[in-house]
Amino acid sequence: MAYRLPFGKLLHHPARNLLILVYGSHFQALDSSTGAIIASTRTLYSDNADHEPTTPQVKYISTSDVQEASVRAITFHDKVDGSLLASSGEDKLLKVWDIKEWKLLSSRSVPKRVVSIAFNNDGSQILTADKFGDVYSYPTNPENTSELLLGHVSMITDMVLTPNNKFVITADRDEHIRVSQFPKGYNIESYCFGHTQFLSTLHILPWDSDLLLSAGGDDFIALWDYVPGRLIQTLDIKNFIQNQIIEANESNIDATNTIPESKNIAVMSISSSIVMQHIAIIVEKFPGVLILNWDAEQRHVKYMQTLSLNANPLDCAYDLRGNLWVSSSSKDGGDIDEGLITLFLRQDNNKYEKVSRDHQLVYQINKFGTMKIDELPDLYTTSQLRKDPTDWRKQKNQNEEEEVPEEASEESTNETISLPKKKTLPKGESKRKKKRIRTE
Amino acid sequence: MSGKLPQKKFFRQRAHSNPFSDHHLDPKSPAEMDWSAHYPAFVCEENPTESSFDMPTKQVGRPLMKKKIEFADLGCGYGGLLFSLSTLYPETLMLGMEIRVKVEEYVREKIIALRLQHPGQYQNISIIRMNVMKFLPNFFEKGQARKHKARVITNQLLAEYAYVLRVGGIIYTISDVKDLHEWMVKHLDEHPLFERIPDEEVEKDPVIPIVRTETEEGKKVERNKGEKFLSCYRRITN
Repeated sequence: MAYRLPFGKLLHHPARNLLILVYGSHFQALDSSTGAIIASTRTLYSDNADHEPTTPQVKYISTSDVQEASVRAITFHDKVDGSLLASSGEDKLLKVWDIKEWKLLSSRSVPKRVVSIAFNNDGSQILTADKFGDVYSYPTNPENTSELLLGHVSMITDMVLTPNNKFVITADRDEHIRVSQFPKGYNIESYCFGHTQFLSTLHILPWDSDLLLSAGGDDFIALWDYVPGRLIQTLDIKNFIQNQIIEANESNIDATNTIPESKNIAVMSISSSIVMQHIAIIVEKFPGVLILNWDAEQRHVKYMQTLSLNANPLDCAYDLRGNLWVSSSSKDGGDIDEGLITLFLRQDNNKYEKVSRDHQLVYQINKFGTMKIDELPDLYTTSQLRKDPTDWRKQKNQNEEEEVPEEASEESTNETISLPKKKTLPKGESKRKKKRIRTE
Repeated sequence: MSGKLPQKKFFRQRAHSNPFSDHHLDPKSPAEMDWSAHYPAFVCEENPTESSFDMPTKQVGRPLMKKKIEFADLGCGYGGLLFSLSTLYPETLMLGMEIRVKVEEYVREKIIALRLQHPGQYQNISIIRMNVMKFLPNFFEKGQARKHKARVITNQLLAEYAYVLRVGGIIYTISDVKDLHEWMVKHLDEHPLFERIPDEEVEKDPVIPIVRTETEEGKKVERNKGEKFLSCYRRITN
């Protein structure tokens, strides 16, 4: 069975009608006001059966320049004239692209796999956060040397540079959000404490840039005043997810891929639109997008609605007019296939209207997007960040309980505050050793 | 009533515990840490009145403490330094941090025993099992600590140490391994938030003889008659 590889990552330019859609190691660029594919790193998909007479006029990027493995991080330099795009990922290559000419400007090796990337305001530096836990600053000009800004003893899962470029904020798998000064990353300004599970995504509110949204393996998303590290709000989103799943089951809509396997939820991404101050949240293996709106008076987020999908979304992005573009994982040729990209047009009443897959804005990308593959890769890696630690206290107690009977009588004869002499051994120590201690 | 001291031989554990493996974490943040069980003698009575040294820590639903912890021994081992400093600075709260379960247990039980053997003493020290490399900021507020003994050092971690140390606070490093010493000195020298304290000044610090002789590193070297390398750095601003 052949599949169309879905778009794993969407990124919309903050000032231009430009949407970058990433699939595997490739990407395509779309004019989000017309729906025309502008550029592609790979020949457009065609299923031959009904060959399209009007193939889009596309600027092809040289195949030899594309990333050698999946792109995990991509960013625009969105200030000044905004002609730069940087990307990196599993191939440990950092690439900088000119998005006017659609050509590669530079490519260089980085020490570890990059998970997040950002330009500073003047475009002179590119920050990378990697799986090893370090944040480096690379000069955009590849001839200059990089600098280590900061590091976590944990896997960094996301990073943002604040709009004023005063702070770099990093999130890791060990529940930490760290706010470090930029560029002097060795000065830690604060920590945002409150998560109890891994973090996967950070998002600064573009209309209130002192505030940060964070989410990951917890049931909630958190809103922070990040400079002092103050928690403003947690919004439980699990209820909305569960209600939706129940409704979906009752109405018998596609049941093939709607039910998360576990009760845990994992937030994959957060996007926002400054137009209506809406926030869109993608949850792993949940066939919908949660929409929150903003209460400017209270400085709170509020749940607004769920946009339902017939397939599991992977990422989403708002365009300049507040339309929401959602990429889904859907099987090639399936009846319920909504296409690679589902578009929700913003209505005047701040509601959204889902358009058909043949709507002109999504027609080309759904027709010619991505490529055919035989087997889908694992698209859901967020929940794999969840930890399953053994609780050493419980383990210890269990061990003690197991061994107590022998010792109990002896213990009780000792003085009230005596200290246990015979200690339980950690799991895995040999019986021989145990025996030796017992006979002492 | 007399507490029996635990015997080290029952608490041996191999020297390494994988700092990258996943451990359970408590607390979520410094504000949620309940220190009252660690330092019962330092819990505020009903109305927290003036405190001689520091304002009481306001804690969420926790008993108020008269003081905050100011000395931290990162990787305290069997706690030799803690026990010595405890009587030298009886009014300063100190915390040892150790990742090895059995070693932590030994220190905990020794503290209990010492408190019973010497009523009124050893109230100011405690131990917690934790991974310093990952979770130090979960336990200390910004600028909370005055002194620190540490041997786990990288450029990136020094930022965390600097975060919990107040300006003017001191980080003590000691090792009997020359290479490790040089590694620590190199990173501390390079770090913009630390400056080395000159040797003459170091010698005047009453803590120094104890760091030399009572830390695990120090004791080992005493036994082996080997060299030991000590260096102290002050937290500065940048």
